[in-house]
Amino acid sequence: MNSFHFAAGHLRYLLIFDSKGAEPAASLRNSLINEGAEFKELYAGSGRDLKWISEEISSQKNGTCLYAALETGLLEKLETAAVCAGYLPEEIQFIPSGSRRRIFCAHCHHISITDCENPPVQCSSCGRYLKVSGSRSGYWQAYLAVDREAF
Amino acid sequence: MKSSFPYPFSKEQRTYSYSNDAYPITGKPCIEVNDSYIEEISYKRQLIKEQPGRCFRSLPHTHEAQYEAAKLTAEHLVNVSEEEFSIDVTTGGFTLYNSILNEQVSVEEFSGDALRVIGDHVQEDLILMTERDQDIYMDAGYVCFPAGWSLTFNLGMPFLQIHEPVPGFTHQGLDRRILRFLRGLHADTPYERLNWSLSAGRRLDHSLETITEWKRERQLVSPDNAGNKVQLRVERQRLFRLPETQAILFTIHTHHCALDELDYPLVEQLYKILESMPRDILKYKGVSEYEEPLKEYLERKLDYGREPS
Repeated sequence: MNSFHFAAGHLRYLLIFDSKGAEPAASLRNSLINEGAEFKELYAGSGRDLKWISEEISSQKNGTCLYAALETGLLEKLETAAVCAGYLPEEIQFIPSGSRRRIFCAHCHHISITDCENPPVQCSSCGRYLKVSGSRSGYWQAYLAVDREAF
Repeated sequence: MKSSFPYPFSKEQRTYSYSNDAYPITGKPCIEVNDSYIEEISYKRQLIKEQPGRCFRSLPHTHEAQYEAAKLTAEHLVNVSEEEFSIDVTTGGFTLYNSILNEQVSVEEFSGDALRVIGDHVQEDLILMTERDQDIYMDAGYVCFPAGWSLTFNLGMPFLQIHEPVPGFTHQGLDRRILRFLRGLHADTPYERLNWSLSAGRRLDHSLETITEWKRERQLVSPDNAGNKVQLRVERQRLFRLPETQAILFTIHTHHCALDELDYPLVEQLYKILESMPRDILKYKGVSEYEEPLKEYLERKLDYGREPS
């Protein structure tokens, strides 16, 4: 489930990814090619910072749909940059490429950022110990996490 | 079994199947009013008062569709029972008179969250879905009795993504076929389907937020108490395309029936369907946690009900 949801019907698409985000990027690329969509892809490898990415997204035409598979910390900043550049929420989809994830606590709805490779994962608001699922919301840009007691 | 209980299986069904089993219900309302009305409305209002952020959510672009859905729902309440409900439609709004609760509410066309207002007067959970990017999105809801999911988490999520955790949902392209069906819904022809599962206890609120409270009940099922404790939980789900905004109103009325209330042929049918269910579906529906005591209860009941040869 760690994949982009391809939203058809946009004028064009911009895909940005780093080395750890290559897998979801490849899957999306296939969908874009199959659909005959107009798209551009940018590899944000070492040396590519937020300033460079922000300039790229700002230079795109209206109606571009932005997909990014990057480290969580960079995505947080990129979201602000994208909104400032005029992208609508439904035109933005992010997937974190590392093990740090935004997790949505099913019980108190708080979103924490945590390293999911080092359990136990704990909600930073209600303190529950959580199991992180593969279900991801593009709206919250977060993975669903449910109390471990429920399993 | 109460005559109003929507028994979910056709007479011939003997195995579990994956399919789009919706059927047209032209002329029928999007809601029902039954003898649990006051009890369930009171429970809904208590839940939404205590946990407003989990029971009601909406995105701002749904306000117009919410008003259209609220007006349709109010009109259907009147159609269901003119003695108990009436409506005054004025320019820019309407007023619903509810004599069961001795209340009246006014909804203005541009007032915002009209679904929140009308949801206080119906037993159903109400969901609004809108279409964009060739997909259907869940963009508003007044949901108190979800079966193991979170309205808040699912807000703004596309249809296919919401159903990703359902085992078998992509089997033979079922997911795409259902999406195509939803996108093809026409205002003239609403549809209905019955979604069933089993639950331990009659609690309506099976929200993901409270899973640790209601899931404990599953551990308490025994062959001796299963007949009373285990419930056939059926959601009567109705889909209405709203003609003006083209949003889809999805209503869910949850019913329970204790297994003890099923007579011999229905117990035999349920037993066979459960026997044919794939393991991942049994797990997804939460049945695998009390499968053994349930099976023992059903086998006992079958032995007792079988006519001597």
